[in-house]
Amino acid sequence: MNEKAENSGEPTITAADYQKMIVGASLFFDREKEAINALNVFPVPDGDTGTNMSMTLAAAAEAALGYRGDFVGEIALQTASSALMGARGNSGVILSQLLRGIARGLQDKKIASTADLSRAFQYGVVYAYKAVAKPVEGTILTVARGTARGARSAARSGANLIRIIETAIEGGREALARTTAMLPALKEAGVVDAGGLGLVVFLEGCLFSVQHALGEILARRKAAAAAKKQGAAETKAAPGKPLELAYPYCTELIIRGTPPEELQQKLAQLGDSLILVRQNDISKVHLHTADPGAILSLCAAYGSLHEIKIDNMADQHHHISRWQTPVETVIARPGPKKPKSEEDIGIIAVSFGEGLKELFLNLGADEIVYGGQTMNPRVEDLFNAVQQIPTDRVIILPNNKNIQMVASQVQKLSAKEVTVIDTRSIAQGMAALIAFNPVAAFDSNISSMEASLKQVKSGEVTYATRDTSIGGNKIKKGSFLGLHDGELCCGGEELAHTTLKLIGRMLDDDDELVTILYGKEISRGEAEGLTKAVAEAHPHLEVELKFGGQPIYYYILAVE
Amino acid sequence: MNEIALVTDSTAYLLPDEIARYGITVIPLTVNFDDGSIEDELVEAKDFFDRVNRSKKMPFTSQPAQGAFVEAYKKLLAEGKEIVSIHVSSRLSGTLNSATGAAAMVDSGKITLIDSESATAPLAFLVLQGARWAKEGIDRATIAARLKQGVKELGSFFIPDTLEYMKKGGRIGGAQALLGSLLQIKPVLHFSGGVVEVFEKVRTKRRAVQRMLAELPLGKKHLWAAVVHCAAPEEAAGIRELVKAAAPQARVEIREIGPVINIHGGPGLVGMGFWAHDYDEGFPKEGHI
Repeated sequence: MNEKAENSGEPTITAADYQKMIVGASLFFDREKEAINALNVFPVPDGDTGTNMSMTLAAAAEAALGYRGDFVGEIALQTASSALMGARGNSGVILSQLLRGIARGLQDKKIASTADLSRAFQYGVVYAYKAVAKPVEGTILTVARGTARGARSAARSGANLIRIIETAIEGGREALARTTAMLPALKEAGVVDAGGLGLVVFLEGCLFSVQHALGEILARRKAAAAAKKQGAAETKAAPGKPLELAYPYCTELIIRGTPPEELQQKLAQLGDSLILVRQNDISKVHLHTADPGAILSLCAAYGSLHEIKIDNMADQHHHISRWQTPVETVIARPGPKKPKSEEDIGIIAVSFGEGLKELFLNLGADEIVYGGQTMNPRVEDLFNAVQQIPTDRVIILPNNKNIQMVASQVQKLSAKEVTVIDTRSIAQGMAALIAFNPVAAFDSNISSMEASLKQVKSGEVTYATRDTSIGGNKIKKGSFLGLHDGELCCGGEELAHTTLKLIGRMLDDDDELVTILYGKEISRGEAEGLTKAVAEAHPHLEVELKFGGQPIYYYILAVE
Repeated sequence: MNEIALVTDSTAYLLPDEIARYGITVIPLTVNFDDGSIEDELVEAKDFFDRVNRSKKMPFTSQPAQGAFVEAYKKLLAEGKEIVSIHVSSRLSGTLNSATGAAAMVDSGKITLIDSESATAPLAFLVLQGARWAKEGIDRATIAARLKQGVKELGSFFIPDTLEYMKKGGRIGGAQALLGSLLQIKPVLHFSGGVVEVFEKVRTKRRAVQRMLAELPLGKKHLWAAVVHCAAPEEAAGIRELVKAAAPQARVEIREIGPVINIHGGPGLVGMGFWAHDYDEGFPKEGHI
C-alpha cells in the first residue's frame, strides 16, 4: 500500500489513508497522554484516561499496521475490532465504539468519499452513545457530537480529507470548551473533560498523519519506541511516589516433582506476585523476591529445577510502574474444588493484590482478572477469562466503576450468557460473591447479588495526588484520604487516625460488622493495631481483619 | 376400626409429656463416640458438646437397626393397632430404610410409612397432628393422606452459629462455597426436597435472622411454627417474639434440637420450622392460636 499515491488532497479516503491515520494518531496520542492524565479531577490515584485511550489506540494501530488489503471498509472494521479487544477504561471503550461506528459507515467500501466519512462520524456518535448505559453530557460523548457536526459541515462543501478532519477538530474543540460548564466536578476543578480532550488529540493525530508520509510516521514510531526504552527507568520513577522495589528479582522456574501444599505459603513469605501452577508432576513458579537464592534452595528440596529465569525488574522495560504486575488469571487454588461444567455458573472477579485474589477465589470466584484502580484490564483480558471458564453462564464482578463498561463489552462479544453485576468497589464485590448461591437459579442469584450491593458500605483509604479540600478543610498533596462509597470523606496526616475517622463517618446505628483489608504497604502489626483501635472506639461492632495485599489503598473497608 | 398408633424417630425431638400423652413410639438414632455410643434424645447441649470436644475423633451418627422397628411394630400390631410411621428425611438418614425393611418383614398391611422430607420441629408437627387425628378416630388412610399433604406445606430454616461442625458433617448441598471461607459468613440453610441446602449467605447473624423471618408465610390462616435452637434459649425467645409480632394468628413454640442434628449444626444454632396452609379440614376453624 505504501506505493499508493498520496491522495489526501482528493475528496476520498483509501485503506492506505486510514492505515496512516490510525498508526500516526496512536503515535501522536502517546506523546500527549500525560497532559490528558493530568486532567484527573479527583485527587486520588485513578485509572488514567490518557493512558487508557493510548493503550486502546495502540491496539487499533497494531491491527491497522497488519492490514494487507486495500478496502477502507475492511481496515476500518479490523482496526475497530482490535481497539475493542484492547480497550481499557470507560474512555477506551467509548473510543473503540467511535471507531466501530466509523467502520459501520465505511462498510463494504474500497474507497470512500469524504461525504461517506462524515456520515461515518455520525455512526460513531450513535455507537458511542449506545455503549453508555446512562449517557452524560459534558463528557467525551458531547465532544464526539461536536466532531461529527464539524465533519458534516465540511462534507457538504465537498472538502478533502484534511479539511474534513480540520473541521471535525474545530467542532470537537468547541464542544470540549463547553464541557467545563456542563459538569460540576469539571467546573470546580476548572478543567475540560479528559476523555473529550483525548478525542480531540486523537483527531489531531489523524490530521498530523494525513499530512505526513507513512514512511516518516513509521520512522518516528520506531524512534519513539527506542526513546521509551531508554527512558523507561526515569519515567518509571518520575511521577507520583518514588520507585522502590521491595522485591526486585522476578524469579521463574519449573519444579519436576510433587511439592506439598505448604510450598504456596512458604513461597508467599519470600516475596510477592506469586503464581504457582501445578499440573501433574510439573509445578511452575513465578514470584518477585529480594532473595532469589532462597527460592531456588526451597524449591530444589521438592524436585529437580528447570528453566530457571531471574531478572532484576529495575532493568526491565515492560514494567511501567511498580503497581504493574503481569496479568494473572491462573493461580493455585486454596483447596480442592469440584471442576465446574457447562451448566454451572462461572464467576470472574477483577481484583489486585495477593490477599484479595485468595479472598475472591475462596469466596467462590473461578477466575481473577488482574486490575482495579489505576490499572484497568483490557476488554480482551475479561473476554479471554470468560471464554476460559467451562460454564455457559458467566457473572463478571468489575469491582470498579471504570471497569464496568469494559465488562459490558464482553457481554456483547461472547456467545455465552454474560451478566455484569455493577460492583463499584472491592467491598461490593465481596458482598455480591457472598450472596452468590451455587444451588440457586441464575436469575435469583443475579437479583440477590444485586440486592447485596445496597447492604454494604465501601470505604477506601488512599493518598491525595494533589492539594484539595474537603468541606472547607485543606488537604495537602500526599496526605491520607478517606473515601466513602467513592466520595471524598475525610483527610489527615496520620493513617490510623484518618482510617478511624472514615469508619466513624461511615457507621450507622444498625451496622454490626467492619471488615478491614490491609494493603501491601501495611504490616500485619500495624493493621492489628488499627483493628484494636476500631474495636475500642466502637465496642458494639465486630471487626474482621484480612490481608488484601492491594496497592493504592492502604485499607479497604466494608461496613454492614 | 382399629386404633392407630404413631411411630417416629428421635429426630422429631418430642417432649416426654407429648410422647406420653399420645402414646407415641419413638425409635432413637445413635451417636457413636470412639469410647461408646449414646441414644439420640434431648439432653443438655452443653454436656453433649463437652463430650464431642473431648473426643479424639468426630463422632458419627447411625440410623436405628431394622430390628428396633420390627420389635416396635410387632408390639403395636399385637395390641391390635394400625401404624402410621413418620420419619426424618430419607435423603438425610437411612432411618426410613430401616423402617421400610421392618414393615416388609412384619408384612401386616397395617403400616403406612411417611417420609417427612424434614427433621426436628416440622417432623414433630406431623407426628403430633397425626396422633391427634388418631385420637379423634380418623382412619389410617385419611390420616396418611393429610400428613402427606402436610409434608408439602412444611418449611424449615436454620442458621448455624459456627460452620465448624458443618465442615465435618458434609451433609449440606452447596456448602462447598462456605467451607474454609476466609471471611465470617452466616448462612441461612433450609430443607429443600428433603435435603439441607444453602438458602442464602450473609455476613451477620442479625441479617440472617431477618432473612429467615422474611420466609415465614405470614398470610396463611393456619400457621404452626416453632423456633428451634441448640443451646441458645435467649436468642430463640427473642426470635419467637418477632414471629408472634409478625404473625399474630400463628401458634409459635420453642423447641430444642438434640444430638444427631446438633452434631451437624453445632452449638448456637437457631432456626424455625413451620406448617402453613389455608384450608380448615382436620384443623380448628379458628386457626392455630
